Amino acid sequence: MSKLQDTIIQYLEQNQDKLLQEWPDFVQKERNEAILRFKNKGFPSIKDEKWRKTKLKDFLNRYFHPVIASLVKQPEPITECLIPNLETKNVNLINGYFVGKDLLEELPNGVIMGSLKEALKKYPDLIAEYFNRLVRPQNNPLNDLNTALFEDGFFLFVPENVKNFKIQITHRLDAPVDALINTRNLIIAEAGSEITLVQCDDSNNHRAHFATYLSEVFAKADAKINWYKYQNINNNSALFSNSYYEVADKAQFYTNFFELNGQLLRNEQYADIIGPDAKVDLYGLYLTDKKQQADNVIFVAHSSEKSYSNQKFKGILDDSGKGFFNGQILVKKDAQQTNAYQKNDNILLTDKARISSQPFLEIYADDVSCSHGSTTGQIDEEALFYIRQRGIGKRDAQLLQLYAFAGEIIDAIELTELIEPTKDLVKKRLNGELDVCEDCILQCTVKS
Amino acid sequence: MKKQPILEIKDLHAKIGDKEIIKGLNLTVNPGEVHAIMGPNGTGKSTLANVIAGKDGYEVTKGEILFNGKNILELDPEERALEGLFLGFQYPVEIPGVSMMNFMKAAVDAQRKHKGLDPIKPGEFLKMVREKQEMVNMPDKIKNRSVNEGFSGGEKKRNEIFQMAMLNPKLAILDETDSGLDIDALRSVAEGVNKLRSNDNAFIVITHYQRLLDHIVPDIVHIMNDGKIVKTGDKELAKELEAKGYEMLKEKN
Repeated sequence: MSKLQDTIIQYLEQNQDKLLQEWPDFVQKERNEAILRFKNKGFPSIKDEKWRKTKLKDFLNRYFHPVIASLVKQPEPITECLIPNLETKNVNLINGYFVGKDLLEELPNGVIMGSLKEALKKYPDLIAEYFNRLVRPQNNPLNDLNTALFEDGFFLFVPENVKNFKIQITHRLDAPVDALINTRNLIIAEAGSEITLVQCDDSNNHRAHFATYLSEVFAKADAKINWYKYQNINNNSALFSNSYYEVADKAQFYTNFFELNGQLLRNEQYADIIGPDAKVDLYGLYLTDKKQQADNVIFVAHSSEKSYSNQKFKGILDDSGKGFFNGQILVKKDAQQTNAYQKNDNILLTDKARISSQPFLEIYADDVSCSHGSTTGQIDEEALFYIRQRGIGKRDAQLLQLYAFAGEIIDAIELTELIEPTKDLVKKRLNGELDVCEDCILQCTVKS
Repeated sequence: MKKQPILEIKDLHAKIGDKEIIKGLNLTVNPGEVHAIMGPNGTGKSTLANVIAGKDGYEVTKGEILFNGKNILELDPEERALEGLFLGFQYPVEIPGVSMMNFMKAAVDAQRKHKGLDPIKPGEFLKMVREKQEMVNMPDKIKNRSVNEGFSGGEKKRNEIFQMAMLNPKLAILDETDSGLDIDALRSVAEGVNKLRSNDNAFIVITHYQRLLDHIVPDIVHIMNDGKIVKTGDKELAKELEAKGYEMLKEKN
């Protein structure tokens, strides 16, 4: 058994009562089951098919402080991340805890946003309907870890037909000791609502963090959700983001995740399309160097007829950087007239860089249009010579090509105000100039 | 006073892997001259162009290449380009996602930086693009796309001439710029070259056919065979070659 597992099991046993009694019944029930499963199964091992390429060993063999609520300085100065010309609500989480003047806000238009812990106190009946409903423990043992130990997170409820609601969530890792962080998020978009989420996952120090973020997102009929995520954490930390989506009829669900820095970043996304004419677009760009690793595990289930999904993920891997892509499309028997696509493209810049790309299609309906594909290549040497022959230096020539490669994901951004800051971020990152910074990364790039 | 040659190649030997392709080649190009290099396939013409431009994968085993009196064999391709060398590619490379305008701006700015100048101002750059575009008769649609992506053969070659006009090199080597062109495209490529000809620059035109040389009239014609220049003459040599074919090289031997 690993050191981290020991730490956690010991903590669970010593605090079983406390872990349960503070929460509503339905949380207690889920938590109790999760604790049992985690004690039994523990962390993922390299024997698990989806963890063969991802080494957790270095993290599991060290000590992380299991719960750090008492160590968080409150209140931290709040970062107001200002994206030029973008009007949004701004909320902050630090080490998994919602921080701010108001822990839970109800806006005049009926939107409820803030701390999940507070929301569970104030709206238990509302949340009972959704909590842990989409999460499949068998997908990833870290789901149980999160359900067993989370103390807070982000909650958002957007009522029917509220349009154009934009919010920026800055989640910072900033523990004063090496820490285990578990954050739980719940987002509900009622019928006909429109939400844009801009999330920045940053770290403000160089401490090691082992962080799990578990999110459930509900897009009701005709709702529209666009979720942008920028991850830039230090090279001692691991961040596991597991996200579950339920997408109803005519809903449009879109994510675009940029994995920029971090020793280990893993984004797992599970989308279940349950109504006709729904649309799911999942984009991602991952950039690794040094000994970083970035993973994407994607599962899109078409449970209803006449729906559309598209996965498009691109990676650039430098130095000894690694990546893992596992994408799956499941078209169920009754999901006729499904259109589902998946593409993963990679560039390896060195002999030591590695990508493992696993595209899967599983189709049980007979009237569908599906495709999947994966490419891995190097910089095009002919193009490199062509560019250099025009007087452009080797490094710039290479950057021009890499930037063009990444361009397809940046071009998929629908929120205009994000395009330039994202271009800057990616350019800086490819140039090796993006550091872990004091503030939110979008603000950092805008400032300089 | 005799002008310094732009290019002097002395006893050049070059190989790819173990195979020697260039086998003792000499060539001198003076300012204001247009040279044509003709010869059968596989004789080393494109290799010569690539070796001069500094492409990886070729090993120069003997000889030297002086550009404006300076040995360039140790220079990177971009350094050679900044010294004023331009290669018009036989097969221009498609670079998806890199717009023509960004590409040219980066190239022009690299050149300016080399000369100690600030990046070109956007307005000035656009004016320059418009001028050169008119000069070489390049359609607008080409410049608004990614570099060579989805261009027809003729458009790609015109694009090479446009880039040459933008960068205004001391020496341009045009590697089979005429291949795959219809007569109109050929004429417009030739017009572009003729407009750029001056007493200060020079051209090396690599071609299989006489027909390009009807439009770009060369001062000197070389015939290359088996890694060497085997015959040098004036423009009449190209016509003789056209009439007799490369069989005439065998007659001699």
